[in-house]
Amino acid sequence: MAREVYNIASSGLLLAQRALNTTSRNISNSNVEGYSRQRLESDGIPEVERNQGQGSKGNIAGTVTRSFDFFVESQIRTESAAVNATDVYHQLASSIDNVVADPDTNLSSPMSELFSALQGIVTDPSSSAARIDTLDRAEVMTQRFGTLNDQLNTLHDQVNSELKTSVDEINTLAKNIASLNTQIVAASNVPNTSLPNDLMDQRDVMLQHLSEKIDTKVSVGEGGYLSVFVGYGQPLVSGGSYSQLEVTNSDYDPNNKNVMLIRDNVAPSNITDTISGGHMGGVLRFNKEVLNPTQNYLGQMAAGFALAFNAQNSAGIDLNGNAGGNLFTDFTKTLNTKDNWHENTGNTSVAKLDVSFDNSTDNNYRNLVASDYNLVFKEGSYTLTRLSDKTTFPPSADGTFNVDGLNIKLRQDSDPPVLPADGDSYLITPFAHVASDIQVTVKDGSKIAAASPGGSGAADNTNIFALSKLQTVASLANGKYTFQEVYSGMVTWVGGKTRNADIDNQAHQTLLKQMNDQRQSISGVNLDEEASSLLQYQQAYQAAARIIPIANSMFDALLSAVR
Amino acid sequence: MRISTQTIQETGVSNMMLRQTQIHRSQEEISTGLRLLKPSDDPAGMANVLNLNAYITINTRYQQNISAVSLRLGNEDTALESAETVLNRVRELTVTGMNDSYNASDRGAIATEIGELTNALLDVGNAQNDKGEYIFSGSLAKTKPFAFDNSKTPPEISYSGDNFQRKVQIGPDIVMEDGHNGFSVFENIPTADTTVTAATTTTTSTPPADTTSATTATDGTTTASTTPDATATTPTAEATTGADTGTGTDTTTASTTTPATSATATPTRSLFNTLLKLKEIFSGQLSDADFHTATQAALKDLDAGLLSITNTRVEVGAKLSSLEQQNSILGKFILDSKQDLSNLQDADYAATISRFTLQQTALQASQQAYVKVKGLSLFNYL
Repeated sequence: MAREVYNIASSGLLLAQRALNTTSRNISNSNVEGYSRQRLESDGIPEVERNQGQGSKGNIAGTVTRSFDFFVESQIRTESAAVNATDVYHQLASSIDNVVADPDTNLSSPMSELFSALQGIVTDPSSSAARIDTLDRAEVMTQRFGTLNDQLNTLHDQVNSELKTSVDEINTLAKNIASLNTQIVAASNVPNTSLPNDLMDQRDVMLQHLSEKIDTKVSVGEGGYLSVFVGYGQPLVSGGSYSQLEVTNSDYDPNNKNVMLIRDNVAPSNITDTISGGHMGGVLRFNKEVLNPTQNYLGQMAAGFALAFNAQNSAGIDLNGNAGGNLFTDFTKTLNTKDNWHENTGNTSVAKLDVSFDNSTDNNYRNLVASDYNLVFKEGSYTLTRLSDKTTFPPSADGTFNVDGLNIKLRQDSDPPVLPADGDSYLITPFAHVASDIQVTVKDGSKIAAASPGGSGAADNTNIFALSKLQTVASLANGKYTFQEVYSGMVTWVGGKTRNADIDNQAHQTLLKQMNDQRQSISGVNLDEEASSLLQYQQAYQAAARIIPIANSMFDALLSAVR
Repeated sequence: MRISTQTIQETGVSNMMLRQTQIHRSQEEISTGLRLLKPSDDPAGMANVLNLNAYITINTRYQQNISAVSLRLGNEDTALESAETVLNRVRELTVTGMNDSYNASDRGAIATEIGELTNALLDVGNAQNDKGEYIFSGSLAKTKPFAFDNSKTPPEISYSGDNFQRKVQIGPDIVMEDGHNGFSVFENIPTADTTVTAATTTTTSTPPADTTSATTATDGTTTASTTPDATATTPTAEATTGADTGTGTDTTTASTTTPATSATATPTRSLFNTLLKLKEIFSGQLSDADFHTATQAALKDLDAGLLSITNTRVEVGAKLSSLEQQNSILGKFILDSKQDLSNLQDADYAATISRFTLQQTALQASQQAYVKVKGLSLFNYL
């Protein structure tokens, strides 16, 4: 009898001690990221009678489990991917948002000042001051175009470097998750022990970090194995093995990047378009939805401006009585600064293109569309596709394309010109460099053609009047908008994108906070609760300890009765 | 719900962060005085801000144009006033000289004075503005418009300007001519003198245009030979508009300014040549009957010239007053735009500051709540 009491007492002591251990761990880890509160689960000390003869000491050890909800955890991952995507999208879009309307960097003010200066010539065609003023304003405007385009190019570089960083982080995480998978499975298979709770917490934290970078799907397999999928459902982590991501140049423009998934014994697959969440998803979406269109809008304006002014100035007579010429960079010529088209890396021929702006009567700056184009040569015929709305165009009879104010043809640098091979394709980006290339090519104010042909008088302002009219004439987008309207339209558009990203981000943050609260409610440590547990187990320990002297005195009483 | 200690911590911190973000925003508004700082604050509103700024810039420029045009019209008016004075004196002399009591020597004296007055009128016709441009030479601002042509016998004064009249934009859809060319003021005067048709024909050959009134958009046959290129260039800019109501009204306002000098085929004689003719009549040895006939005819021409000058002055006056009107319309428009701009983008200080105060209080409350809640721990009692 007494032996049983001693056994029970020591079991009680052990149990209370382990419970105190668990409580202390909870207290100490209460601020550790991803720590799930642990509990000692015990079946209690079994009844003595029923276990007679078995020499049982009861389930003294108990099992330490973590309070954890897989469902909540996976929802947190989903929200976390969305929060990070919208956050970086908003941040990047803000960089454009901050400059397009700022008084010091917007395009609208120098543009209206240029038109105002033109009015100076309209009023006083022979004034050299008005002409110098106009050229100065034009200079300021072209510089503004350049500054804005530089800003966009910088953002493009940032997008590429962010992708690289994200991929590096994802690769490290994938590797570590796979390695934790192996450790957890090994530890779980040791009999009569608790699960490796801390390792599992660690793995969950890493999954969490992974979902901040890229949207993932996670599934739990047998024996504690865990698989992570990305893209179309390709495994990034599968048990102890893992794949790697890699940033490669896109098929056309080396400055645009693809994200490839590299797996052993499988051909690399391009998952760029499937990534929608996490930091990487946000960066990719910003690039596609905001950066490229903005650059095209800006380029459309710059090209339209230069083409319209050049055409009108060429129609007049300058102060020296000569026919007017171009005021800005001549975009009807193929510029050699940088190619505005890219061949597919898989092209088998070396055929090259010449892409320039047509400024003819039926195909000119009024017809420009802010879009990229794709040209494919297949089965003997060319097809041009406008990427913004997938409209396709056949070539004209002479094999060139004269659409949307563009002139696209094979480069004639040899005789006969090199023809493309079957299946060759090209990406045409007419507007990529235009805003950087636009410059005032005239340094002499007298070259501004104010007079009309035939008039030639110093006070004739017929042509400069027509030039100044370009401010109010809807000349872009097939005669729908003025330059000012196109620009304010772009500002509204960028502002809307930025604001929507912010609203999205706040919505997802609210959801994430709710999910986090829920998770904290399940897994988080409450110090008051632990303090009361401390008291509880301390008392249990003291009480169990008291059993020993009592059992002792009982035994003494029995002995003295016998004595 | 079970609340973890971390949740308590995070809630407190995120509350304070939120308040601080709000305070930061209010502070920005107060220090910049602007409610609309970037497009994402109000995408459509920011587009309006840019548009309004552009409108203000260009309308301010139209006001500058108005003052330039006013100055020029003022110059022209001054010149025309002198012309009137000169012509009235000539008229007075002519009428006086027609008196039969005047003998040949008296007529000779009048002829001399008319000669001097002709030179005075020549000065008026060759008036220059502050920039040294001839105000009556059409588009040929550097060309002296009126000079003696000694190849003729007797010498005549010929016009070497053109029929062009510059238009200046004084409103989004309004253009105005900033003066008159010498042809319309001094040259294109109908003559009643049928005896001198030969002289008229020689005169009509000098200016490039003689049949219709110039300066309107519908020049007709005269300028057709010189302007077809000009008319071909303007449509390229204007065809794009589709509905450019502006240009439509332009033509109408412009054409109303030209007096209806009818007479497509009426013979005309330059005012200068009328004066030269008068001088010739007075210095000549004509019989009384011939003298009277010739003087009467010349007097009619002189009156037609005076009428032309007076009409032009009336027109200049009308233009000046409509410029003034347009100036005040633009002023009001600019003021309205600035008001709109202010409504759109300026911070409402009263509202912003009271919000700022409220946010401060909220932050203080959050901070105090945080500290109080953090102080609540069972461990304090263990």
